[in-house]
Amino acid sequence: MGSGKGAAWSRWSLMPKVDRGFFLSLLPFAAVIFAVFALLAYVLVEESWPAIARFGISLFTENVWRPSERGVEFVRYGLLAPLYGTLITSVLAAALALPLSLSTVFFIEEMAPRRIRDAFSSIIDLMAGLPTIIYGLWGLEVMIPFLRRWVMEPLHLHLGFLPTFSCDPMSGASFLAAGLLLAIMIIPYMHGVIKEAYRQIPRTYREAALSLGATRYEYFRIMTSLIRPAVVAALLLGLGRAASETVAVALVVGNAFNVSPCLLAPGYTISSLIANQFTEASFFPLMENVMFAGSLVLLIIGMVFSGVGVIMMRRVRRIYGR
Amino acid sequence: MELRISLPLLASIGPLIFALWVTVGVAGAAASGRGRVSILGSGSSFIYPQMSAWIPEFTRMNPDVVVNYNPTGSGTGQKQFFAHLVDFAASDPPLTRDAWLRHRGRVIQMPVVLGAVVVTYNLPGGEGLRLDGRALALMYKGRLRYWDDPLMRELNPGVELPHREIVAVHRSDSSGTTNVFTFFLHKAAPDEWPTDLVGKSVEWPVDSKGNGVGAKGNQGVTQVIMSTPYSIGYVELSYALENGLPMAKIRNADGQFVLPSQESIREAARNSFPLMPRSPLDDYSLDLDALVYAPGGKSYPITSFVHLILWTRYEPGKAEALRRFIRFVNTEGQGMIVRGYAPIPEEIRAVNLKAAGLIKP
Repeated sequence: MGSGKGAAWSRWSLMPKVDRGFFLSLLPFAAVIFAVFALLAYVLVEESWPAIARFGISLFTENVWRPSERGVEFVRYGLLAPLYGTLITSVLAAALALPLSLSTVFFIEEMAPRRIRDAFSSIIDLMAGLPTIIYGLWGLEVMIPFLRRWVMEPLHLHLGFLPTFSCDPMSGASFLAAGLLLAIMIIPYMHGVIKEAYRQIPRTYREAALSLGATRYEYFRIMTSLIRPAVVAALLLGLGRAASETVAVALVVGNAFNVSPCLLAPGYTISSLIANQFTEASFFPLMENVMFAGSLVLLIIGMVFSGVGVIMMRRVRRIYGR
Repeated sequence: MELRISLPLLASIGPLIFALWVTVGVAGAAASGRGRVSILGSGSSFIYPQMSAWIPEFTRMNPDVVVNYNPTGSGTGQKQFFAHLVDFAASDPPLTRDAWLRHRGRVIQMPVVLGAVVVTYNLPGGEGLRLDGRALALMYKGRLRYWDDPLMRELNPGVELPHREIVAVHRSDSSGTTNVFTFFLHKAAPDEWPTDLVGKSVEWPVDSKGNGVGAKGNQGVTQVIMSTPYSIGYVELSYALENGLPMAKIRNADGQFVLPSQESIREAARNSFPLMPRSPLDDYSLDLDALVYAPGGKSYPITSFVHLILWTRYEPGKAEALRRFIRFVNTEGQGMIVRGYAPIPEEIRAVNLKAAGLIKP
C-alpha cells in the first residue's frame, strides 16, 4: 500500500500546475457521485429502521402482508414471499441466460459469417436498450399464453411428480414466466461481459489450440475455460440486474404473496412489490418502512453480487490484459 | 458495430428542449389569462373521466372560471386538500370519522356520482353466471377451488360448469375498488370474510394457496382475466363495459340476483337514502355502509359513491366559483354522466345543493 501512496504522491508532485487545477476541478464531480450513493444507503437504513425495530427478524422470515389504515397496532408484515420470489426468479433467469449468452458469444465470434455477426451484435446491443415495459407487455400478451399452452401444461402433465412442476399452471403468471422474461432481459448484459473477455484472449492461445488439431467443440471448451472468471462475473452481474427489475416482472410474476416450491405458481418479488404498492404506501402505517427494508436487502444483495463480479472482471483483465 | 453519438449534437439538444419547455410554459401561462378565477382540485382517479366531461362544459357556461383537476388518487387528494394545496378534493371514501371531527363545521362533503364494482370472469362455455357474497368470499379465501363446486351448481342451475380450478384475480396495488369489493364480501358473508380483510390493500388468503393472481390497476386485472381461462375478478363497471367483459349477477340483500346497470346502481343509492346524512356538514363516514349491500329487490349490491370535499370558507372569487360548480354538478352535470357511472338520485342532489348556501367568503 505504501508504494501505491508514494506513487500517487509523486504523480501529484510531478503534475504541471495546469493539470493540478484540472484534477481539482474534476474532484467535486467524482465526490458528488460517491456522496449520492452514500446518502442513498443512509436513507435506506434510516427509513427501514422503524419496520426492522418493530418486527425484528420476522420481517424477513414470515409471509404476512396485513396492511391496515386503522393504526399501527393492526398491521403486520413479513417479506418472506417477495424475498423468496426475488431469489427464485433471478437465479432461474441467470441459470437460463448463462448458457444462452455463452453459446451466442461463441457462435457470433467464431462461426458466423462477418455480415451476420455484425447484424447479431447490433441486435443484441439494441435489446439492452429497450425500455423494460416493452419486455413486460410482450411477456404478458405473447410469452405467457404461449408458455402456458406449450411449456407449462406439458411440464405439469409429464413431470407433475416433481415438486417444481406439481401445481396446475393456471394463469401462466408465475416464477417460471418471470424467470424466463428476466433471462431474455439480462442476456444482452451477460453477453456483453463475456464477449469483452472473449475478445481479449490472446491470438497465440487460439492458434495454439487450433494447431494442435482441436475440433470446434474442443476449441470452445478450451476458450471457455480461459474466460471462466468473466463467466462468473457475467453470472453475478446478471443476477444483480434480474433482482432489481421492477415493471416487467410486476406484469408477469402474478403478484401473489405465495411461497411455493412450484415454479408454475404465481409469486412476488421485492421490486415488483414496490412498483405495485409504493404510490399509496404512505397511507398505511409502516408500509413505506417495510418497502425500504426490502430495498435495503436488495441493495445489500446487489452490492455483494456486483462487488464479486467486479473482482472477477479485474482478474480477467490481469490475466489477459494488455 | 460501434454506435457513434456526436457529443456536440447531444449537448445542443439539451438546451433546445429546455427552450421549448420554457416557451410552452410561457405560452400556456399567457393563454390561461388574467382576471379569471382558478379552481384547483385533486383526488380520485376513478372520477377522472367524469370530471373531464364536466369541466369543459362548466367552463363553457362560466368563461370566467378555470377548473383544473389532477387525478392523484383519493388518499393524496385528501392530503393535498388538508394541506391547502388544492381548493377541493374528490375522494372515493368519505372522510373518516376522526378526520371529520377534527374539521367539523368547516368541511363539506357530498356524493356526486355513483360507481359500481362488477364481478367479471373468463369461463369458456359458460355464461350468465350468478354469484353471492358467500361464494365470492370462499373463492378469495381459496376454499372454493373448482368451478363445479356444489355451491356454484346450486347458484347456477343450467350453466355448464367445468371441473377446473378457479383463478382468483385481485388488485396488487392499493385501491378504492378493493375497498368496496372486500367491504361487500364482509357485509354479505360476515362469517367468511372478517373485518380484518376489508380495506384498500388486504392480505388475500387465496394467494398462499397458489390460486390468487394480483394485477396492477383496473386495466391490469382486465388484461389478466381476458388472457386467463377459468379466472374471476373484480373491476370498475366502466372497464367491464369498455372491454366487453361478461358481468355476473350478484345476489343482493333481498335475495335477488341483479346485473349492474345505471338503474340498479341508482336503485341501491335510493334505498340507502334513509341512512344517509341530511346535511353536507354531517359525518359521511358510514355512507358506504348504507350503500353497499343496500336493501331493495332491484339494488345492485356492490355500489359506491365518489365524494367532493370542500371548505366552507374561501376568498370571495373562489367561493362564488365553487358555489356555481356545486350547482352545476348537482343539476346539469347529472344529465351528462359518462358510461360506467350512474347519476345520484334526486333526494341526495337536494341535500347536496344545500352546500351552495354553506360556502361563504
